[in-house]
Amino acid sequence: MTAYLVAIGIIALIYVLLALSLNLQWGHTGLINFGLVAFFAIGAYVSGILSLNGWPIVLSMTAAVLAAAVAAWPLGRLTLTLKEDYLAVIAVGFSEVVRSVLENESWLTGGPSGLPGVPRLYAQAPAGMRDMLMFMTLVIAVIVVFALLQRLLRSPFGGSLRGVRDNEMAAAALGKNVVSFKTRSLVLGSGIAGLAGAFYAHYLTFISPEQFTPDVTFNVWIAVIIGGSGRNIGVILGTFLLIVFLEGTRFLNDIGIGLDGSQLGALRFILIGLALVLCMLYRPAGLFVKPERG
Amino acid sequence: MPVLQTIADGIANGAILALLAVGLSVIFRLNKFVNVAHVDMATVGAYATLVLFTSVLPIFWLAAIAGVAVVATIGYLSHRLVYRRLRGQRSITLIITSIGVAFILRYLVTFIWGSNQQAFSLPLMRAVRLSDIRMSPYDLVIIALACAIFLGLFLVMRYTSLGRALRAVADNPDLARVAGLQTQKLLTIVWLAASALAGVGGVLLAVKTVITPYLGWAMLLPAFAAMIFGGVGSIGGTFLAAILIGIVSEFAAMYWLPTYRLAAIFGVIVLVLIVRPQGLFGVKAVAK
Repeated sequence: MTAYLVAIGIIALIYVLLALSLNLQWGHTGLINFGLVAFFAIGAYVSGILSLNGWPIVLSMTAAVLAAAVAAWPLGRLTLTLKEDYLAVIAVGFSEVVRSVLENESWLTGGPSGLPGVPRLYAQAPAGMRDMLMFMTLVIAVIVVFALLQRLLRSPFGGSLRGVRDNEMAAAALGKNVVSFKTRSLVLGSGIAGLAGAFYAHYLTFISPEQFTPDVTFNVWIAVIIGGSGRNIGVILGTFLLIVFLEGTRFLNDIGIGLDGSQLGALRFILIGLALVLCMLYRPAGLFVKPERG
Repeated sequence: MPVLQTIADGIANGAILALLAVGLSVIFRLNKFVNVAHVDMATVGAYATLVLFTSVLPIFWLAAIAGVAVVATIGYLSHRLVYRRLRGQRSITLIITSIGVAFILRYLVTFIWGSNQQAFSLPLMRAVRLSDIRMSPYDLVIIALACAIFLGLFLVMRYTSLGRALRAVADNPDLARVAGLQTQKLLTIVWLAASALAGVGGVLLAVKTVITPYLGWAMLLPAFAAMIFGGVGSIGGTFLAAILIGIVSEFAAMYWLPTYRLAAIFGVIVLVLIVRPQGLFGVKAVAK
């Protein structure tokens, strides 16, 4: 039971990192990054490939963060001068293109059958301890990222981001370079997603393109929206609700609801879609915040 | 000449793409947001037609018309029940809502019919030869139908009072309302028509390929590309851009890798945004 909880905890913390990343981009800056999974995938594959080629894991993970951040820059340059909708669709497209590259460039990525044997973190530790150590490392990583983000968001930079989010025109009129602030938020957030991907690769030790479908992106979106965009604590809460929901629906079969696996998966996404629509209609500030009038 | 053949195949694909993109484009112009669920409406059209065709309406074109009517109804309902209530909200709210609607549609389809491939059982037909080019009669019908629909759209927009009113609303909704145009009624017509065209696109796509719950979703990036390449709100531009994109992606599939169609289309988007972000016939104001 402990082993199961630790395993769930690790996945949950990786999702928390993704949610913090999206919350910086969407919650604090108003960027619709529907391609979050692309940066998660880039992080996972860069760290996976480099560590398989003998790089120490600390270095490969650093490279993963940098690669994901660098990949976000041209996307930002291309779309952030335009209306918000452009980033939204082009980012989904980007994440699908990244996935098709992972599937086709077998010489580098192992193709559809994936990349097995990615080195573990703490490979020397006794088998029973590894996951616990991984879990503790992730806890620390989340605390560090969280603290850094809180600091950043309380700084004038954070204020400018929210200014850009709430009223672009006013921010521009005050002399803020709106595009530059948006781009930096996108790049920084993508770096965090890359970090999450690197942890994911070194935890699972096996990565394949089918783990990086847009489903991941939208799972994180629902966590952020339910938790309340723009509030990092709320978003962490939202992520745990999501994980409870994803794990909980898995047990539906055990209590004898006559649905097969694909129907269950479909039902999950119908509920996620409903939640998105209802949140936008009735609770745009998140489940825990009553909408303000006016 | 394999090049001519590739172009011909690309035109057939582009014709379908045009039908999917035009609704996306017009709704973006009028409602100021990219309705991500638009492409999933195409999927619903394919499944609705399949169900009707295999049960009560064994005549294909009748089943298709009924299927398209179902899609138009769903599109109208989504506008009426969801998007209209968010009127005046920022477009970011509307896009996220539309991804929610997209999920509901796509996974309801998966829930009901499963995710296995299905197909219309239509008779096989011998390809028509035009010197070196071989085309299936279905492709010829698809191209002819798309051309006819776009000609109709063009004439309506250009020469009827409905078209004039729509152009007025697109240019300045407030002024149009003050001038006594019934914007709500016009929007209802637009949502019905746009959704119906997505349905037609979905049925034609299903005739050419196979039906899966991801049929429409896979067309999101291509349709978006056609929309911005043609210029948001431009009907003729969308048609031309969709045909060009169809050809480009066919070349990518022939001479690069079939799975890199999407990458090629992504390349088109990047080029358009760098060189001419407002598209071929677009207004600069919409892109920003």
